[in-house]
Amino acid sequence: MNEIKEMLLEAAYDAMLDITKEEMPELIHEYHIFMDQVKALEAIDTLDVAPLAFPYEIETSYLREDEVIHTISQEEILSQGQDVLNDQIKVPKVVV
Amino acid sequence: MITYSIEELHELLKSGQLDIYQYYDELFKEMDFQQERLNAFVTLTKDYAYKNLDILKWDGLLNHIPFVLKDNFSTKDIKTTASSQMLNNYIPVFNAHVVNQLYQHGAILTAKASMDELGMGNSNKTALTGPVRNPWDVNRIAGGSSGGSVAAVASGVVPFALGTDTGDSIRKPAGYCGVVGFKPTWGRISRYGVIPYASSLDHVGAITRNVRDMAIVIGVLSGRDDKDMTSSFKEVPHYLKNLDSNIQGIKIAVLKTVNDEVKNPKIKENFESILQILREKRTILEEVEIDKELLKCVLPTYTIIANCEALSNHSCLDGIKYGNRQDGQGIEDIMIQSRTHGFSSSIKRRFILGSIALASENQEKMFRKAQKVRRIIVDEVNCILSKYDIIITPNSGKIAPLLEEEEDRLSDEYIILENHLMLGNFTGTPCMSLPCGFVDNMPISIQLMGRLFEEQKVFNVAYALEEVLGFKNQYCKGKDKDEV
Amino acid sequence: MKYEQVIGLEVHCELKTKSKMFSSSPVSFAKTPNTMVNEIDFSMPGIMPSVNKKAVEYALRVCHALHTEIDDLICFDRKNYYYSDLPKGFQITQQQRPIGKNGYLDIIVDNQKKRIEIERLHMEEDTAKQTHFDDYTLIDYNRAGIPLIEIVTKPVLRNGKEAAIYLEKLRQIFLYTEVSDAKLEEGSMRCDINLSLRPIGSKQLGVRTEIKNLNSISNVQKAIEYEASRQEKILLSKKEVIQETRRYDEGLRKTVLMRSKGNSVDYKYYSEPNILPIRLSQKWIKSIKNHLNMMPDVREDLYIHKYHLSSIDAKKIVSSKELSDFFNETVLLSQHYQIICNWLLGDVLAYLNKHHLKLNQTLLTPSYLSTLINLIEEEVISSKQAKQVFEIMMKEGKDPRIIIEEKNMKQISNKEELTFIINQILDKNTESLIDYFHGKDRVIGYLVGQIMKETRGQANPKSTNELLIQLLEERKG
Repeated sequence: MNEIKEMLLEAAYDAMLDITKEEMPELIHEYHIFMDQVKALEAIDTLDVAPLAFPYEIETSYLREDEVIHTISQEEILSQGQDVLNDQIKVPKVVV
Repeated sequence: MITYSIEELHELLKSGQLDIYQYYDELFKEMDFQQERLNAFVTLTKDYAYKNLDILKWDGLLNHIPFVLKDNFSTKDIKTTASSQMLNNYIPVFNAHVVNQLYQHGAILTAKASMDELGMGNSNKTALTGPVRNPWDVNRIAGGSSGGSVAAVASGVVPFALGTDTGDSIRKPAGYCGVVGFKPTWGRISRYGVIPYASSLDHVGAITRNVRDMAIVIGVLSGRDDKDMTSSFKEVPHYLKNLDSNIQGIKIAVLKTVNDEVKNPKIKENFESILQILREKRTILEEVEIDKELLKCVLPTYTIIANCEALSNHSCLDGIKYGNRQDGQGIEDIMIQSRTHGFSSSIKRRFILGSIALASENQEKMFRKAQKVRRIIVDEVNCILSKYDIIITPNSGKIAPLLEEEEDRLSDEYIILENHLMLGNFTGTPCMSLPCGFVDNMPISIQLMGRLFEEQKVFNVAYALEEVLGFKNQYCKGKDKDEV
Repeated sequence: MKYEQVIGLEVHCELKTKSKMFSSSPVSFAKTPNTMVNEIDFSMPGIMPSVNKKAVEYALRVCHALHTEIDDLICFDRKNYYYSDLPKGFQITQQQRPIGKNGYLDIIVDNQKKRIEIERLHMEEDTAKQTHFDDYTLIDYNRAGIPLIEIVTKPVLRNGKEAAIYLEKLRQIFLYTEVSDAKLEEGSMRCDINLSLRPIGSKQLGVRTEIKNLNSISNVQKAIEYEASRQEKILLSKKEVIQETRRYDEGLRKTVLMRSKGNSVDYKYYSEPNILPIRLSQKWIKSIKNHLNMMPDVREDLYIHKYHLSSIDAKKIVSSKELSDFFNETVLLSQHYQIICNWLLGDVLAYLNKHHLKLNQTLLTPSYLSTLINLIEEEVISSKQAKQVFEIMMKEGKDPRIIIEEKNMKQISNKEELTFIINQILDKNTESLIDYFHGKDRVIGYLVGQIMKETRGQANPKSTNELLIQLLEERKG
């Protein structure tokens, strides 16, 4: 059980999420349902079947012409940032 | 006074029989009332609406017609939350493509509607603003994730609303609330500016109270948008003009494997009666089957693909440049705190499962496996559609659940019947849920699926059924049962 | 034990398109932060990418120049990771199917040709720019979404010098295909190094380290030299090299640890669901190849064999695309190839250096330069006059013929005219004649000076000299 817990915490960290102790039992429950679902798929023979990434096989030949069409003003684009300094988004020092 | 179809309303407003200000006054009064009753809206856009009534123009059917948007359509200068804490104060700086389309056609936005958080749910109980109630019985759910949009139309306040459909998020609630729900072919309507759930399954669609209105709205929304590279160049037919209730000779497949799972005898009986109407309309009706074991894999396949794509699609929500930002020790901690605080537990669980299935050591046996099974399922459906124009199924095996009701997620009925609408998202084919009767005083529906880009046939079959069934324009205001 | 270095390079190059890779906001190195952006670059919820045609064309140019195989179906993938400079939480890149693979670039090391195999070339997008202060970091999204190509070599380089030569050559390719400014110091070209050691003769690869943060070609060479010796010391003391990412610290002249493999990220690559596969037409791919500029190698060859320049001169001209383009145009107008080369590498470069200019910032045209050279060769002006004309030509951008006209600088080379003038001078200077008859040759200089004075410097010096001696001898006789 602890192994699963640890794995789930790691997966949570991978997704930049924290899980509280209270949330853990439900997560484990869902995880087991999920793994059953994974198992259900194992029963389907997919040898020589290619993954389908779109609803149907389709190609396009469209490429956007290289033109400057759409710019949003600095004031507007920064309007949703909670911490703005010198026309930029401010965050704590990022260690390189 | 407010519950007209688009065409009726257009005529009444244009001719001046209905004073537009008086109409909107009453509309917003009604919206306040319904909000109290149903909790369907996140934001009412009253000021915006009145501002746009100044200049009257009558060059199209949607001029000055009120509508509601699910709160995952980006609206410039109007809060767009996707019913998530993460975006609770987020005000977009741009419009979704379809929002621009509707604005250009003169339609008037009256509200942003509640939804399951980020579109991830089927009950609308996970919305930040709380559950949306069913207009026909406020003790029942409207369904989700487009619950607010559906409730807005089903309560009669607006003739149409936009929703999104990743698994069944328009059609399931539309069925529970007795209105028409439709998602066209994947690629028919631009998704630009619509907060995604799972891109390869996401569809923009609409909710109306009749098929004609649906043909009008989908006609306006459809067409190529260069900002969405997946949107189609295919010409958009004039759906309204081409509506034709003569469906003689249309080949319809009845998907027995799904239908067999219906346990409720009244729903079974109702479905049989619908098939009888279709026979009388001289369509060619035949039963078809899909391997039951394969159908049982629809939900697992969906869960894996949707969770993986959702995780990636929502990685941008990190609290750095917009949205919910929480304090933290350093940049990584800010992201973790912001995301942890910004998403509900159920969303976090989905992201974590997505993270597991997408991890490079699992991807082959989880995500890519699901993509392969998706192909097998899609091939099966397309095989049926190569011989039939339409696949018909019951929209659901039950009426809208009570608010506190939990679904039995292990039964075949649930796994096969209640999740089969996802087939339309796997294949990207046009699908409509159409009201077809009442069981225990609650509306029920059927689903019609057509071939890729053959929206018109779906419309026409629905149009023919609607004529006979008489559930056209139904709504439930809730003030007085007689009003229904 | 003797070790050999096994080095692979990953080079990123920013493409100088007008708009970004997946959005129609401008590519510009403007100083004002967050002014060259739209909702896509900020990754506002609901945005979708649309692929820039020019970026694909630029990638194809470099593919052709590096002789890669080209995949005519363009597919993109998501590289998922969280970082403050990555607005989407993923980077759109080409993991599964790079647009180009299996190419090569030939370099010359110690007079030996060496073929550097290119494993892949793919397209992706740049991140936002972070500026770090004492206790905070500021993010500017102007750079977010600028098109990038990444070029990865096979691990075939064997020392820092080879790496440096390869990089310089690759930089030339970027410049000659006109896809980028390719400036390492400004970050429009970036290089990461993968380096491991193995005993000479061994076929197995050792544990490698990755080195980032290199802002000049000479630093790449230094970093490799330092890192190789660091790893060698570890191996010689029977310890193991740890797989990790290091960066080059210019001040310390050392590579220092950035992060170890233990906390490396799983990028969870999967195909980008919002970009359909894009089929390129063979016709377009071919036409890009046909319109490709002549590459430096080919030009060098041409200069040596067709224009008979020395290998050193040819290399010097080719080292700058501007100079080479200018040379190419000038040789169409004048056939004095060597003299054109001398002027370009001599006076022109000196002028540019003196005034800190680039060739295209001056008013010089191939037509002016060829005219000037032709005027000298036809002895219309002296080479001394030519220097004067050149200065004016560079400053004022005038046709040399007009300058000569205005300054009245024409050289007198006509024999009859010169004979008349010289005889006049000799008639006035009988004393000098007597001196000459007495064998005092130095009077010649004096007489030439008088002739020049009389003609205001326009007498052709060579003809004047010859004619003067001839006339003096005649009078002597």
